[in-house]
Amino acid sequence: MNDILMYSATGFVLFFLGLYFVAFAPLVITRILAINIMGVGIFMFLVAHANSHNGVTDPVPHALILTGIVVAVAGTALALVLVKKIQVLSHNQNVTINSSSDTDQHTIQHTEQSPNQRTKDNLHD
Amino acid sequence: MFKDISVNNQQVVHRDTQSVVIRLSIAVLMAALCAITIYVLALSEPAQPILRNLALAQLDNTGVDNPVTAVLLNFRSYDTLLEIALLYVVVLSLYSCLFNPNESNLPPLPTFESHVIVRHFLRAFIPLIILIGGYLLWTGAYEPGGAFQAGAIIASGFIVVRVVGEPIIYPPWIDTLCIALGTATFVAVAIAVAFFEGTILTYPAGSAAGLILLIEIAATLSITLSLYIFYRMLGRL
Amino acid sequence: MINTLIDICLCAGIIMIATMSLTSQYLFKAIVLFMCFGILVTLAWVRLNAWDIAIAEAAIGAGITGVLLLVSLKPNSVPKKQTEL
Repeated sequence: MNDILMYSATGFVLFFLGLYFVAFAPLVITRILAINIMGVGIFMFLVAHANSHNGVTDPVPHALILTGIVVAVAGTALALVLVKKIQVLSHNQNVTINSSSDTDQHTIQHTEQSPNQRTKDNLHD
Repeated sequence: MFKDISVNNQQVVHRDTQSVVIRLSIAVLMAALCAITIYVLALSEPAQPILRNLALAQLDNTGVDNPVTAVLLNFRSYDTLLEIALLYVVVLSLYSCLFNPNESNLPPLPTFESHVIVRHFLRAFIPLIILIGGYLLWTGAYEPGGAFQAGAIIASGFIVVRVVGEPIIYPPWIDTLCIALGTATFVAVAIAVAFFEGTILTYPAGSAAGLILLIEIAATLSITLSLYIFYRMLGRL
Repeated sequence: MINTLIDICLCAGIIMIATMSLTSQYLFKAIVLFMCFGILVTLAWVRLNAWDIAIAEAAIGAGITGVLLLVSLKPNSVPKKQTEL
């Protein structure tokens, strides 16, 4: 029982660590890593509890997680292709994405063109 | 919170006091939440293993001996069907991201002469990788292993060949065929079985082992090609 | 006793490498640490008697995800039409 609690606790720590860095990491690829680490945390909690009944493991969470790993790699690949696509479309070197709901403008100063102009250029192409 | 993300792999640091305070407070909040969750978990009793007992009691009727494969491809085959379909959809969306008719074509993935030691090592190594993949596929019915592991290992063999610069040449229709093969076989089996048994994906008695093997072979081809295409697409962009 | 020690070291190592990977300033270092994280997690699956997941994680989590992340670090090959713009 003790090691099961330990692995579950590790899973939760990984989950919350990933959650914090999904919100606050400065680089987009670090956020993708953080999402993967969140997923591993959830997997670890499920596997630890599948193991908790005196020796015989529960095959249902194992099958679930096997599916989840393949889905995670598919999601990672899709996210990476979208990131690369944004990089190609904005061939300005210092682009930061600014959410529209946020009113302070200090991140836009790092881009050389305004975002609207850039979008127009790409649409023109 | 999601105020500024650098897409171009260069860190842009904004540290005003307000954002630092927000970060610290959210970090403390998350640590507290984590501690509470672990505390609740330590107090609670583990749930009764109802699903495990059901699965292990019916294992003799599934046609396979490995309980994980039985759950994946017999008890919960809907999940696996949807997962293979999801891989198919992701590959299609990658194609639609990359091959926009308004843009000119992307350059192909470069090939270059690999070192002679690497080339001779791979010549002996790649057949072994494919053999291990086939072994995992076959042994998935009795022991740990199965379609996902086999597909992942064969795909990593392909990726190794591509990483060192050797070309892998095959006609392009194999891509189109093999990606769709997993989903198509699974759906075909599901519908064909429905004619005999009345419900989708309920295998007739005695034929479960053969049908599961058929689905697994198709799924292995599909997963291998999908993972290899992920690498190829990202390398071209 | 020795098993508990292994479990404690594994859990501490997993959390430590995850933190190092996420707080790293350099993306290459972060991705390589993430691959190390995948290998340690594989060991954790083995400790938890989940052999199916261990095989899949070793091939996919530690291998293919890392390769996909690393290949996405290479400079963009921008199509010709875009560079003339």
